[in-house]
Amino acid sequence: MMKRSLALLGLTFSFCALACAQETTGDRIVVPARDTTHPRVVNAKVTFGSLTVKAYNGKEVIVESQSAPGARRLPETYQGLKRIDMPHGGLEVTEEDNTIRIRATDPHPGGLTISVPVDTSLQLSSVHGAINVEGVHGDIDASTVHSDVTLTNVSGTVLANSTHGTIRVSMNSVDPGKPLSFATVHGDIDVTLPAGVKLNVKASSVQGAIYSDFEIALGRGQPATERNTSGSGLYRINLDRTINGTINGGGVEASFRTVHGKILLRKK
Amino acid sequence: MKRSLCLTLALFAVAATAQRNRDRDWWQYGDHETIRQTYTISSGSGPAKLLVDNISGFIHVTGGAGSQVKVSVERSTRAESNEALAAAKRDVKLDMSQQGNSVRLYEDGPFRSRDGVNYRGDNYYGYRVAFDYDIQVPTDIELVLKTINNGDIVVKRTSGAFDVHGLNGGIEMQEVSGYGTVYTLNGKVNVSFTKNPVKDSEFHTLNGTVDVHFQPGLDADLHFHTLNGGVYADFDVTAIPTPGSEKSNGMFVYRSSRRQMDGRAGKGGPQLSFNSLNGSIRLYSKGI
Repeated sequence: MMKRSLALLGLTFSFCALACAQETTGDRIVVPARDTTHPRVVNAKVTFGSLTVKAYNGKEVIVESQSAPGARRLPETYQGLKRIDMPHGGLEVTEEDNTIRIRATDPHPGGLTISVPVDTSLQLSSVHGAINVEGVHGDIDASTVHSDVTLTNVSGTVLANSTHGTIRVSMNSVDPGKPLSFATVHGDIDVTLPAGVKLNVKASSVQGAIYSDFEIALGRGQPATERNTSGSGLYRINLDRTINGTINGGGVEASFRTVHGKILLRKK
Repeated sequence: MKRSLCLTLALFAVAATAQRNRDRDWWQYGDHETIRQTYTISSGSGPAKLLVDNISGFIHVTGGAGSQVKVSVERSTRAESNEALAAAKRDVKLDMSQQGNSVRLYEDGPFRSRDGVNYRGDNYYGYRVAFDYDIQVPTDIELVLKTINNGDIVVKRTSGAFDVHGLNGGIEMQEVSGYGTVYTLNGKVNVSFTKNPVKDSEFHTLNGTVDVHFQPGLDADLHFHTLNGGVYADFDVTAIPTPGSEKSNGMFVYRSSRRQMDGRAGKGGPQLSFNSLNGSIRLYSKGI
C-alpha cells in the first residue's frame, strides 16, 4: 500500500515536472522540484561571468542568463523572413540525484542568476566572475579566482574562497558540527556572525591585521617549536602567526586566512 | 567536442583533396565515354527505386511521365600515364543492374572498402575517374543518391521518398513532393516542395545554408540546430519548450549546450529537422 502510494506520488511529481518544465523558454530554465524530501544541491560552474544566487519563496530552481552577444550579431530579418531566436549555446543544465548541475562555458556578460528555495546547498565556482548569494540556508561552498565572494544573510555552513578578491559574509545562524572557512590571498575578509555564535577560531593574516567585535579568548596556540626526529638535536621554530582562540566558549571550527588583507569579525 | 574537431579535420583533408583534384586536370592522358541504358519499370514488380552510389561526379535526376529509367552517364578519366589510364579502365567500373523495379548504379573501384569508401587521393591511384549522371525517371520513383566529390546532386519533379547524400557538393531539389533525408557536409541545401512532406524529413549540411521552400499552410513540428548561423522563416514558428528529458542513467537534461530548439508551424505534424553548423537555415512558405 505504502509502495503504491509512493509510486503514485512519483507519478504526480513527474507530471508536475513535465508541466513545470514547459516553462523552459528563452534564457530562463526552470528545474522543477522532483524530490523535496531532502534539500537540493545546486552545483554551478562558470568561467567568465558572475554567479548570483537568491533564495525565493518557491520550490523550483530557476536559472536565468542574459542573451549572448552572438545572437545580436545576426540581423533580425533576412529578405522578409523573420529570425527565430535560438537558445544560445554554452549553457548546460542537468539534474541527477537531486543535484542540479549548471555549466556555462561561453561568456555570459550579465552572468547567471539562480533562484533557489531557501533550503538549498550550493557549490559555486567562477574563474573571472563574482559570486553573490543571498538568503540561502545550507552548505555553501563558493569560490572564485579573480573576483569577490559576497554572501548576505545566509545561514548554515560556509566555505568561501578567493585568490584576488574580497570575502564578505554575513550569517544569520551557524549550523553546529561543520567547520567554517573564509580564505583569500590578495583581499580582505569581512565576516558578520550572530552575537551568540560559539566558535573555535583560527585566524591568520600575514601582512594585514585582525579586528574583532567579539571577545576572542586566546588559546595557548600551537607549540612554537617542533621536535626534530633526525637525531641532530636541533629544534625548528615555527613562526606561524595564526591566532587560536574561542568565541563564547568555543564550538564550531572557523578559519579565517588571508595573506595581503585584513580580517574583520563583526557581531550581528 | 573532440568528435566535431576530428570531423572538422577530416573535412579539411577532404577539401584539400578536392583542391588537388582540380589541379590534376593538367594530366594529359584521358578518355571519355558515354554510357546509355534504359530500364523499364513494370507495374507488377513492386515500387520503383533508383539507387545511385557514386564517388566522383554529379547526379542529375529529372522526373517525368512514362515508366522508364533512362540513364546517361558521362565517364571521364584523367591519368598521369597510359598505364594508369589502362589501370583506371580495368579497375574502376560502373555496375549497372536492375532487380525487379529497383535500378542500381554503383561506382566500383579499388577505393571501395567493405565498410565504405577510402579514397586515398588522385596521386595515389595515378588517375581520376568521374561519372556524371543524367537520369530521367518516372515521377513517383524512390531515390537513394550518393556522391562524394566533384559534383552536386540535382533532383527535379519527383514525388517519391528520397535519401540524398552529398559530401563536398550542394544538393538542390526542385518541385519535389516526397519526404526523406537530404544530407551534405560542404555545400548548400536548397529544396522546394510542390506538396509539403507528409512524413518526417531531415535537411542537413555542415558548411552551407539550408533553404527550404514549402507550400503555404505548413503543418509540421520543426527542429533546428545551428552553431554559427541564424534561423529565419517567413511564417510563424511557435517555440516548443524542451521538457526535462530523462536519460537512462537517471539524469534530466533541461538545457544542453547545443544550439538547438523545437518549434511548431501551424497545427504541427511530421517532424522536419534542419541542421547547419556554420550556415543559416531559411524557410519559406510562399512557394517560388
